[in-house]
Amino acid sequence: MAERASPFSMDVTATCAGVSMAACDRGSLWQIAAWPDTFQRIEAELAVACGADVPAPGRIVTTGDGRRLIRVEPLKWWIMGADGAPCPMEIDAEDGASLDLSHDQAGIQLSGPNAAEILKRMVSIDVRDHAFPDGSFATTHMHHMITRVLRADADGPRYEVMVMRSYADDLAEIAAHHIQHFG
Amino acid sequence: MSGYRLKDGGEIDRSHKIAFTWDKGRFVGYAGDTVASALMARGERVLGRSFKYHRARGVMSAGVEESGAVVSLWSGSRRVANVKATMAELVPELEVYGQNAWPSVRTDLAAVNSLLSRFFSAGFYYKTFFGITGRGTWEWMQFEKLIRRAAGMGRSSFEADPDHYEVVHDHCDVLVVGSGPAGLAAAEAAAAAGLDVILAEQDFALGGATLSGLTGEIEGQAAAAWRTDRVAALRGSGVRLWSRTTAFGLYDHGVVGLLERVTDHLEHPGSLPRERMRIVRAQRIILATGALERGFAFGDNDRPGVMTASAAATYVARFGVAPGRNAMVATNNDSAYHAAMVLATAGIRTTLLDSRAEGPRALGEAAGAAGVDIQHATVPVQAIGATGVRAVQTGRLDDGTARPVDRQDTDVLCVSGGWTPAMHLISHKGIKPAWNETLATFVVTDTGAEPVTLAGASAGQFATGDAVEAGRKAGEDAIAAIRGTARSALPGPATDWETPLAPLWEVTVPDRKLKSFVDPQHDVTTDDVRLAHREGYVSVEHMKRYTTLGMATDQGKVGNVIGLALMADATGQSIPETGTTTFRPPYTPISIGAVAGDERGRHWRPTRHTPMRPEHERLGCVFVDAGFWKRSWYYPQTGETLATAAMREASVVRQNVGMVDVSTLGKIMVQGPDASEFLNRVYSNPFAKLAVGKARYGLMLRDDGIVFDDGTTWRLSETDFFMTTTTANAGPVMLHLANLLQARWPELRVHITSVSDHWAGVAVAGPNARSVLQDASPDIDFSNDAFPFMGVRQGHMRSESGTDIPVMTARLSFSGEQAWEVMCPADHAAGLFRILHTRVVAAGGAPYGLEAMDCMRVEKGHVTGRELDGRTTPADVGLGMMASKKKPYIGRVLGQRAELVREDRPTLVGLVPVAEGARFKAGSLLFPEGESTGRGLGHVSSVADSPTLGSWIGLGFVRGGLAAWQDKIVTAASPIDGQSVNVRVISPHMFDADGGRMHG
Repeated sequence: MAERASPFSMDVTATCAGVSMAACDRGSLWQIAAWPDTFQRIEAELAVACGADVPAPGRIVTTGDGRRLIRVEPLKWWIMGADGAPCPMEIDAEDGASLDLSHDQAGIQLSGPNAAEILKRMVSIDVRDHAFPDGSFATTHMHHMITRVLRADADGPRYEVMVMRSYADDLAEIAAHHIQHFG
Repeated sequence: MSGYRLKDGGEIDRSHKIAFTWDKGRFVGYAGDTVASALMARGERVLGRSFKYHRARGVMSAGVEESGAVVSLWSGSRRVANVKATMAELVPELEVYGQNAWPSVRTDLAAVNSLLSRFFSAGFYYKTFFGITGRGTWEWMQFEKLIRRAAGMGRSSFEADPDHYEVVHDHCDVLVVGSGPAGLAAAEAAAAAGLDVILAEQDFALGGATLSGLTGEIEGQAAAAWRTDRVAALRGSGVRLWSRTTAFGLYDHGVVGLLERVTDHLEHPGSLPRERMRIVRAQRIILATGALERGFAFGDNDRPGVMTASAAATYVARFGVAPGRNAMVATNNDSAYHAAMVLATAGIRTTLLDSRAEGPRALGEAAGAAGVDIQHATVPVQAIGATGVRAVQTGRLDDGTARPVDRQDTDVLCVSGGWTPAMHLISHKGIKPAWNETLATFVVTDTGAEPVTLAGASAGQFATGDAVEAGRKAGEDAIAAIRGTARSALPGPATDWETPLAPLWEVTVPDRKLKSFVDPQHDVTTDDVRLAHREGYVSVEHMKRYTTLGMATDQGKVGNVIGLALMADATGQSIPETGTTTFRPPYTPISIGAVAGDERGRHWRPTRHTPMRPEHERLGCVFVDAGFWKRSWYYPQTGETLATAAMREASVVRQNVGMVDVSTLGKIMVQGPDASEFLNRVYSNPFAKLAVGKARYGLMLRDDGIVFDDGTTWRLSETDFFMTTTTANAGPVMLHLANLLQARWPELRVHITSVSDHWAGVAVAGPNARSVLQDASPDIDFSNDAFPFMGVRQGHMRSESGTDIPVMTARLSFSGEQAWEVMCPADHAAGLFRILHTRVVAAGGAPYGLEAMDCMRVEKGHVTGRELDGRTTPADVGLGMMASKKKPYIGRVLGQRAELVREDRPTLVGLVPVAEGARFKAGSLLFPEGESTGRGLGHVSSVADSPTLGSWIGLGFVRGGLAAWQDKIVTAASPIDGQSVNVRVISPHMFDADGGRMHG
């Protein structure tokens, strides 16, 4: 299988003023969708398939094997895992649909004590700790780009910001600019 | 006293001197000074020139309402015009310049305008439109430049702004605007309950009215000590205290726009932004924005030295500056007694004119004890001194008019005509205030459903004690509102005035004409208001626009109430009947740079790159903007231009093989048991019976029957469809489909998901496309039998090193050649491009760009956005047969409207020039041969230099279409440069009309 190319044309690592930036790993991203009348059943089956409770809207659940489950829309979940990971469940069209989106998104990580301050310069969502704690997910926008933000703390606050792949360089440049001028 | 600086007092740091320049002259002030206070301390009186008449103006206030001391700061690319000197913080090496004057504000030659003032009255501009001779527009064009030069304010820099700005989003439980007594008390109450509080203050110093010397003791403490304790408590509670931050606009759902001035006061700003736009989303908002003292109109009430009474006190108490040595205070209310006492206590000889026959007893005694000379029933009739008040003619007020009685020497005239709550922000939400007879002003008493509370002077609570209490109650109300507990009634307007305010809007003298200003910032006089009424303006909104009273940066801060009162007097109505105008954001001017933030230069809009970008760059591709996308335009070889490169690339495709990046196409997965039914309704042509493994071209209409978009849809399984859209309409089509599913057909079990960025694609086209693709794929049979036209297959492409890339491919053609679109997951796209490029080049082919692609599609008569321009029906573009007559679909019903099915509608045709070598332009209008005027028969939509046909060619629309005009000659006339070229109307399918090449 061919190696995957980075969506960024530049090195996106940076550390300054209490914030570090790095590219998110290129992994798998599967979308599972259900119909209104099959939602509860598919949610239960997905929980079994992933070995974890399925998250509430706006929340992320991390499974024992490191996959992330996210409720991205009322009838849709994303399952983010390692590169090449198969769809966690087969789903009949009468019950819903599955879709591989592994190459659709590009993301950066922002970590460190001032990461939220940088994020406030990029997106309009409330990133205060009580409003957007560890394990949170939101769909928002940044500079005309549909943007997904998730919080997955690791030794302190850490956020992942994702946009459609074609916007990758803009995302990295905007974040780098804010990091450079933060103070 | 050194100059006008008092020996002691004030909240300036006398140990920290600051040097600055005023019109290139060197001055020194102190840290904590404003430009106005520093210049006042040096005795500078003329700091500005007025808008129309170029009258000398000085400091009129101590705040944002300043109308006289309007200056420019800094120089070159960093120059900022129209800054209120009263708000400009003195910083080291600050450059301050007078504006709207030549050679300087002190000796301005344009002051001659003042002699012509009778011609510059209200409506001057509008009357100029009509003109003296009736040739209004022509005359206006002649005068415009002159008027623009003579009128106005400062000039912006024409150089690029070297600073950067940023936009920050903040959230909080409670946003308190204003740090006066009410604001500090409100923030403290909310913070004490554990709420997340932001306190924003437009000034560089926190404290609001506590800095003015007018509040007296607060809760048993000196004002400064009370303020210090409150600020310390707020800091200890984690309240975000933002000074130099102006709340300029209040918007829906608790959104407030604030502008923070970040670096102008810093000697070493580092890489910080000059200004920061903060967009705050608050659950509750407390507006403790204070009140603005207003004057009243009398003769020459705009002369340097005329200012509000509270401003005069502020210069003494906050800045340690005497606004004059011989002060006169003129008032119609009790509050100015406090100001007079501040002046007198500082050693300034002070006379107080009270328009009322009787004043407050206790206050009067206190003022007398402080050395204030009080004269009752006395008003200023006219200020004397063109470049600075030297004296005031006073008069006795009798039955509403004044009788001149005396001329009294003074060098500063401090006026108080009452107070107007600063309710601009709540007005932004359309909340109307109510007239309060006692306070003689408008007060907001009900904010409706807005999450907003007014507290303190902004709510008409003018006494400091009342304001503090109201602030605390507003804080407690915010707590209750957020926590859902019972809320108590909030206090209403109140004052501690001993003697009622006696409304006084204008001092008039029988049989004497005075030039009395209502809005000095715009040179609007009392006569202008009356003139507007005489000329038929009865609505206050119309009067405002006709006279310009309270417009622009002033936003009614100074003259709004007086103007209303005068209008009410003219119309014979009460003030409430006359109404009030609506204040609009911004409260004070904000820089465009702050609005733009970081979205400038390279980032003024997003840029999208296809995943094949590295390969394009390696090949020297030139890109072209297409929406947000950077698309490959052409690949020039040595010495080639766009035209020659595109000609070569198109020829290579026609003769051999070429490849083009089509990753920018919109791509949408349509999934579900009802997906085929959904597509059958969305497209005008049938999709219900599209077989798995086949693709179909589809035409999507708007509800009104006009073509919306086109593209192909590939059936991957019984329930999975891969739809492509045009690049431009990827987003709109997605929204359209989502809307249909959510609003119109929620019963359909269909999911749509954008996969535009998951998949990337290359089109390989030309007589040798099949062999190139067959060579690259280990598992797809590209033979005509195994892979017929419009077929869809999935498999792999293999690199020379044996690495496989998964692909799905469809046999489609936009160029008219034998062609396939090959899609792969985006991270593999560059690899796919390399695999195919190696083989294309080995076969003698080449990559091609958008320009060559456009040329080939024009040859074929294929339409793009230039033809699908939001006005054309399927029949107009020659695709009427694709509109099913058997099934319902979006756009079918309204597409049958008589106007859309007229036989003489302009329809698509091909165009070639009659004369060999001639060229015509896209956008040209088409006329009967030899004509070039009027609206014509149609227009040219696309042109191309066809290497295949050896001629310039075009597509266009002609009324009646091919049936009426085939092989006839029409004239293509460009409305831009007047060029006319005779062209022959031919079929739009100018190359391989029977499709033999692409089906081969």
